[in-house]
Amino acid sequence: MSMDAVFKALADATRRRLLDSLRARNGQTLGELCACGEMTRQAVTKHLAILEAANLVAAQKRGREKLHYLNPVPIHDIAARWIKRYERSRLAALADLKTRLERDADD
Amino acid sequence: MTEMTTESTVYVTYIATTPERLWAALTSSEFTTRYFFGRTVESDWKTGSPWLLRMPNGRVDVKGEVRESDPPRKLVVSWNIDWGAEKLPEAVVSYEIETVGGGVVRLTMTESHPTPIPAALLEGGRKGWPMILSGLKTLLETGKPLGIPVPQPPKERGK
Repeated sequence: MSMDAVFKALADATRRRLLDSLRARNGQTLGELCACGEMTRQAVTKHLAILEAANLVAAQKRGREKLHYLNPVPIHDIAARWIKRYERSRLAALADLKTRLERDADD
Repeated sequence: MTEMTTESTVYVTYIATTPERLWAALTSSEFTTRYFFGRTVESDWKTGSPWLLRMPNGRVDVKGEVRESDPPRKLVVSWNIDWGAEKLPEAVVSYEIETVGGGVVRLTMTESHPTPIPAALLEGGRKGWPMILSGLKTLLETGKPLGIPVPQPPKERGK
């Protein structure tokens, strides 16, 4: 699995929004993913194909439907390449702090 | 009120190895101690047999039953997590191994929840599995573990 494909797939705001949507609710059908945006079905299909090719989205068949799942494993592989083992917990603490502060600001 | 969910989690990783080696990595302690947060696995891996995960301190924190065993293609196990406090509903974890050619296999891990579980708990798994699968890939491809510090189960970490 090429890292280039992952970076290219992520270098697009629309595709990142599709991943956000799956982050919020995993296992959505194409129809559900189309309903949350202003994109055509065709455009969503195209973006999903790119995300699938980069292994950022895993699709599973359930009956006649195809369910889409966020697959963060390639992102983890990227992080593992540049983040040192002892940095991980400090970075997690920072990310946690940022999330809390920004959430409080929203209230 | 605790938010409950029955959402499944599906993770896919491509590994430069053989299905037989990947099967061995999923089912033998020689491998799991190096990518599954130090845990050993115990089972004869026959359909209907019990299986368990043992922490480095000897405590068993996950156990269940082998639901389907088709080496080296498919393994389905039930998960009953024991983290001390409340008893959690059973989850089902399946591993599917497919050859994609060029010396690469595709591993699909699915965690499903027939009974609703607290959403926060699912979040825990979503942090853990990518580390486990990344570690498994690195171990099989390089022979070395990823070198991530061993996280403790959430209940014991204390917040």
